[in-house]
Amino acid sequence: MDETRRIGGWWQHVWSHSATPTDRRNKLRFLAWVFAWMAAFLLVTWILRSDSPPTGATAWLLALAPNVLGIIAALSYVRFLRDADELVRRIQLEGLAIGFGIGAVFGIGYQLAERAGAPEIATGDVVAVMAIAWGLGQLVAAWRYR
Amino acid sequence: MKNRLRVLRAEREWSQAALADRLEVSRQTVNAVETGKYDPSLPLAFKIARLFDQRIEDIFDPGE
Repeated sequence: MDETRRIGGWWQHVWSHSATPTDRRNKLRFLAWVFAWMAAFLLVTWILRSDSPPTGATAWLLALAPNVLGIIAALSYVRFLRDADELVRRIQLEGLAIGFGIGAVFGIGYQLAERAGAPEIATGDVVAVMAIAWGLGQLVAAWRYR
Repeated sequence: MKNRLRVLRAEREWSQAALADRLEVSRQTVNAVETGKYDPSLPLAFKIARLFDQRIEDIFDPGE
């Protein structure tokens, strides 16, 4: 098999995560919930940082509301994995392992680095590193099985 | 694990995509199995064997 075709197969993996209609449908559903979650997070952040933010129970309700969408997104990912083509599931598993591993090492390691003088970072930064590593992990795994 | 999937598919003049449709998996899965980069699950191996009307051990060789 020539290299162009191999790279093409890898690229198809990356973008469509394989070609079964079920995978495509479940992946789109998962991404839609993630975008809804992120949009709600940004909206609530904007409201809570506004000049006259809500207080008390309203503020708490607003702060917790995006989590509902986050939980739905997580459940839709579980569904995607359960119904996924078996190679897609393997790629996802390896991607998650790489993402979690890098995120955990970064999060724990950076705590020590902060004590040594590195600038403080927010918890969200560790989550961002984990998410990026998850994406990269999927690319690496997809390349391996291209 | 070595296998005869590519040969069996070629005998029937099926493309990887056509075989993938019959097995209800992605074309990439078929490609990865054919090239030996991925060993199929037992249910998929049974499905392949049934499709080609052969025993699993006649298609897959663990190479021991």
